[in-house]
Amino acid sequence: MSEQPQILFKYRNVENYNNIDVYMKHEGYAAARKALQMEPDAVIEEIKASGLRGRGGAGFPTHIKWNGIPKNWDKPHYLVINADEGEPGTAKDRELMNKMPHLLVEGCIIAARAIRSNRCYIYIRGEYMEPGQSVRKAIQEAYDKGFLGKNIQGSGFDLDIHVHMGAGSYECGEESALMSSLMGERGMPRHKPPSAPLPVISGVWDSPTIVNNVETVATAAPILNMGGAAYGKIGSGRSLGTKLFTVSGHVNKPANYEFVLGTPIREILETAGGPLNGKPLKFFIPGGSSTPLFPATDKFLDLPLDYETMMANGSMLGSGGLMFFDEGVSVPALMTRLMHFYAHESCGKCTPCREGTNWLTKIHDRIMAGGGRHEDIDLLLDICNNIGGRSFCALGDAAAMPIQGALKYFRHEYEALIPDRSLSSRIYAPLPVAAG
Amino acid sequence: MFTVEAKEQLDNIVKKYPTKRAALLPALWLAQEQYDGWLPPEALREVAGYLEMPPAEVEGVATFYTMYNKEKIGKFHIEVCHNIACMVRGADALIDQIGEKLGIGKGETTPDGKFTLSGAECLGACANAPCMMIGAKYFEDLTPEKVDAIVEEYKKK
Amino acid sequence: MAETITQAPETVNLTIDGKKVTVPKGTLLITAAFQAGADVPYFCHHPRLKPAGACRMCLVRIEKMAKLQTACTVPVSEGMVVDTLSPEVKQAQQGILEFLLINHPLDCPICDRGGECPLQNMTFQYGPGVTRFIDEKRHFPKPVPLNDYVSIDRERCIQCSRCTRFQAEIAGDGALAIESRGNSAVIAPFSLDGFQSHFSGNTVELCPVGALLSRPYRFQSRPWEFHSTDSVCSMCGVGCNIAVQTRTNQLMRVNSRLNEDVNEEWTCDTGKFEQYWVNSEERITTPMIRRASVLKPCSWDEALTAVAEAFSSAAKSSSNTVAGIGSTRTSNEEAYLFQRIFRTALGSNNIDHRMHDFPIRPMETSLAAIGEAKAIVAIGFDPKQYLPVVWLRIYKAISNGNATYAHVSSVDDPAVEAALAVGEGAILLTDDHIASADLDKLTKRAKSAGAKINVLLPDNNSWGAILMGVLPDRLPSLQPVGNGARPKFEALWGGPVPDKPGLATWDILKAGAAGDIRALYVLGSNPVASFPDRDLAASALEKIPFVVVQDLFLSESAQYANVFLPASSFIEKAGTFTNIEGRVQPFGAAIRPVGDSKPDWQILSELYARLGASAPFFGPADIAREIAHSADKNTFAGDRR
Ligand SMILES: Cc1cc2nc3c(=O)[nH]c(=O)nc-3n(C[C@H](O)[C@H](O)[C@H](O)COP(=O)(O)O)c2cc1C
Ligand code: SF4
Ligand code: FES
Repeated sequence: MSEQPQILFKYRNVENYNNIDVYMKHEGYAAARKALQMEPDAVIEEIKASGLRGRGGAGFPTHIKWNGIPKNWDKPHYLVINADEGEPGTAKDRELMNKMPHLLVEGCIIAARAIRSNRCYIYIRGEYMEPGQSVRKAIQEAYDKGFLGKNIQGSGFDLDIHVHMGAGSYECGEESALMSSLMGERGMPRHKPPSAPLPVISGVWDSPTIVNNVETVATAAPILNMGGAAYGKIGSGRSLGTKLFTVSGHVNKPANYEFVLGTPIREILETAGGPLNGKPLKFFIPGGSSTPLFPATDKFLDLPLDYETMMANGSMLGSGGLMFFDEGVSVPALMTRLMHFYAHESCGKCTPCREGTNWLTKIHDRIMAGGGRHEDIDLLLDICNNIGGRSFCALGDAAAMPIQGALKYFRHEYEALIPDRSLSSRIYAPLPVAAG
Repeated sequence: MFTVEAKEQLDNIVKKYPTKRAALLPALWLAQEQYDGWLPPEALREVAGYLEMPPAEVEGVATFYTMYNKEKIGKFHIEVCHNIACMVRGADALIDQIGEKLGIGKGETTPDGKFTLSGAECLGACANAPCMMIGAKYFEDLTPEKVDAIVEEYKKK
Repeated sequence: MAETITQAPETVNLTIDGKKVTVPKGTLLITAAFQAGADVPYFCHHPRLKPAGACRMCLVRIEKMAKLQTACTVPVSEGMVVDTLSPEVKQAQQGILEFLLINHPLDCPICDRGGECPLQNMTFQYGPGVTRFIDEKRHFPKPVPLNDYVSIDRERCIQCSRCTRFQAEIAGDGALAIESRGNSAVIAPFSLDGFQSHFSGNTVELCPVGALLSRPYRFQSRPWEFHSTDSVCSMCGVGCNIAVQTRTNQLMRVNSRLNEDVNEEWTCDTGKFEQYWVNSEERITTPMIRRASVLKPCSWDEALTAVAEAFSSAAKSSSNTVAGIGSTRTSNEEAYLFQRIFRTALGSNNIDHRMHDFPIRPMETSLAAIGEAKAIVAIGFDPKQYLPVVWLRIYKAISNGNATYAHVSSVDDPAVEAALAVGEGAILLTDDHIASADLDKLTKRAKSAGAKINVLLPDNNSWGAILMGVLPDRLPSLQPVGNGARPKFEALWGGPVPDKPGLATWDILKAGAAGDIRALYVLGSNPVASFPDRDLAASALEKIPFVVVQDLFLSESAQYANVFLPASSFIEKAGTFTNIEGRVQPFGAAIRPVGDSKPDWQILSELYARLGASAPFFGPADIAREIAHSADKNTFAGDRR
């Protein structure tokens, strides 16, 4: 097995690492100090050299985003941390916030410095009340030690960080919906290019805004410590550095792990203790519930887990939620559950997602209940095609993609659920009683 | 009604944002605390008045998020994750088990108003599935035995 | 090339379906597409609302972009190449329509919107012929009344958010919001209050399906059955342009009609829902004459002869003993005729329409200009209650231009000073209850600050009554009775016109109570209820030997009538009203006069003949022609502003 450098998890097992004194004994706030002495653009250069890409799901190069912030505007700039972590299969930001909150706070200082922001909001999903407390405590400690507030460490740079708790909505992880939510609105997404400027120009309160995932920002500290170029030597191609993966499902040691991007999936599986109780695996989901699944065959288990390879094979690295499923799991049953999730979380703003996820759910329920028709399978695909690329935000796509993956490899499992002599398409529902 | 301290708290929250409206989510959290764990329309009216917003819009926001309770719920809200990572590690059986123990189904509250049982979407503890939360507290790596003990403990509270 | 671009940086060139179009910078693609003749389907888009991109019906292909884009949200850009016709685009639109229909009830035959429903039309044009949806549709309780006027059928709602955006962005009250989310999302007002808005009816017209419904109109008619007549609202001085929709000689519905300068495309709820009095069973539709102290039906001839006799005999003894109290609600033509009869046939200037004295002062800005003001103060009245559509202009200034706004009770309020400090761009609004002394004070301050003052009059033809000369001291066009304009009118009217000012309403009533008036003509007004000193009005009407009341209902004043002349409502006649800005707006006759009632102009014209006029008028157009001839341009021109 290859050597796995631990960068974010370097001090994971240090006791009381969430305490600022302990944290500072382990390189803590050295990177922030460094950043405060650098020109903002020089910080961005380091990030550029590191090749860091967003860890929230889309994998967008972080330095490009940061560089998009206008340099000479008198409007305030906002740094918003996406700690909504709602993607089923993903539980890494929670561990970061619970056990190493100062990594996040330090990352915020670095990011804020780079984008010349004096105000940062950490948007934490409502269920994460414990991580919320942990982060709040870390922020207080950082204020007490002079790493936050006015004129940080004599640098002339000011930064305030506020924790903003969500209240139960997966959609609020989508960055524009998150901004709506932060501004006190329903968690509905906002216009994106070409309909409106990017958030770096006009985000929250019409001001330049950066939204970054917890892990993305937390990685900034070790990057500055080790140097961007050194970080960029890890991994390959455009998938550089390490990433946290939440390994869950049917494995013996489910947990969050840090792996170099491009590590073969099989190696990750083995690190996680292999299949639960040795029971053969049927399939796995590489990057969180929204990413299309792969059968657990040698071909797919041998793939290196990186952005490009996943994409080339019809899935995505996503947020790093690697989920393994053994033979006992019915793909249609799993998809049924997932469709209920997406239908429940659809914000309802746009037609394809609101109606489509609901329709997909109803067809799945009917198939599971023995009322499936052969044409339902193509209908499912058709519905997915009519959602994909046409919804307002990516939640619609996120609901359609798993079905597309499931039907690509496990269509036979759906077919097996359809009674031999299923009703034809001409089913007439009883006439509804006309009410005005 | 908000207490004087809660109003002070709200004043401080508002200061954290460039607009009053942005304080809506925290204000609703606070209101939910003040109103015994849920948000009756009177609470929404109070928040609307404080933040100078149309009450219809406050209600629209409050009903968007699942953690703002639109009805009175039990003192302890048991939310068992039933999303896929937990599902394949036995979540549904746990829900049934708790339901049987408390004599209620998913979405119901015990007659004494002590427990409400719900299924929850992914709680973000997939690596420690199955999991559940009661109030703000998470319980992970659940087994039938662990669940039994937890429920017993809460029954005594 | 470069030169032309720098010279005209405000336009953008693009290609839509192979056609080149040039549009102003910032135009939304959907607007440009319409200009290019492309037929892009849409639901949530509305040119007066902020783009939502919610329904996704308007998906089009823009070259070089990975996904289809919603034409209603994308601003055009130079060189954009757009395709709205390809099979890919059509398939996408059909897919969206199918989604919209899966949960939509198939109750078009009993839906009020049927026949004028964008969803129905779109389905006809783009929709699938058969449904692939066999599961249970979404259910909600229905229909749910939201206020006195509007109900919602949530099963029909397609979540386009036009209604909620209207309430937030145009009405400025946020009275409707989307509640819950996803598939369970519903449109709802605050649960404790209901749909509290002065503008709720607009959402019924905005709703692209039959989800928001007019309660008075529900199940009354099908849109293809009624006749629609261009009209002007009779309920306040704004003069919103409306379509009066009628069937079986009854009013079915009032819809708004576009007029950018006046109401854009909105109305208030009073205008939309409170005009059903025209259908009222309580209307009096036969002339009545008092016999043995009881009003008894009689013929028109009997009634008019009695009126003519009473007035001419009184006038013969002294023209000071006749008087007329006109109305702020009858048409210009009627007001004009009324004063002409008094001045020529009866030789009296004892005519008025005012219930109290107020400064007669034209608006200094247009209504539209209020929407562009920088600072607005409403003094002594609440525009939302009174002239609601003026509030829409105020809110426009607040929301688009960040104008400051205050509604205060006194001219000395500090908010007035603050607005005046803004100088040019500040507009002070007040109503006809402002004291002249206050107004003079205010005028001085406004003048030196460069601010404008608009005194807003309340009724649909308040300005008309003034400009038509229903005043004791003024001829049409505000010409004083004593000055050089009189000979012109004498020539036109073919007889002498008294040159001394007559009695104002309050003096008429005082004289009446003192026994000095012998015949009083009450035209479309109701002094016993509206004159501030009701007791004086009642004792005057009691004392005056002959009172004629011309109205639709047996008003309080009609209790004192010797003769009651049943008038027709504004939808039964044609004419013009002059709004608060002085804008003269025509309205048409939508139905025949109800029962034996007659339009006021016709009653007056027939009376005029009985009083010896040589050339009575055969229609409002006849009168209008004379007004146009006699009045100065500012009094009677539709395009004054
Ligand atoms: C439906 C949906 C849910 C999302 N949820 C999350 C989330 O919980 N956390 C997160 O960091 N990003 C989430 N994203 C991705 C964000 O939109 C965004 O790409 C990310 O916050 C950018 O940060 P990064 O560049 O640091 O990755 C979600 C996206 C979608 C479409
Ligand atoms: S795809 Fe549409 S309905 Fe779904 S979450 Fe995004 S905007 Fe809302
Ligand atoms: S009209 Fe464009 S999305 Fe609705």
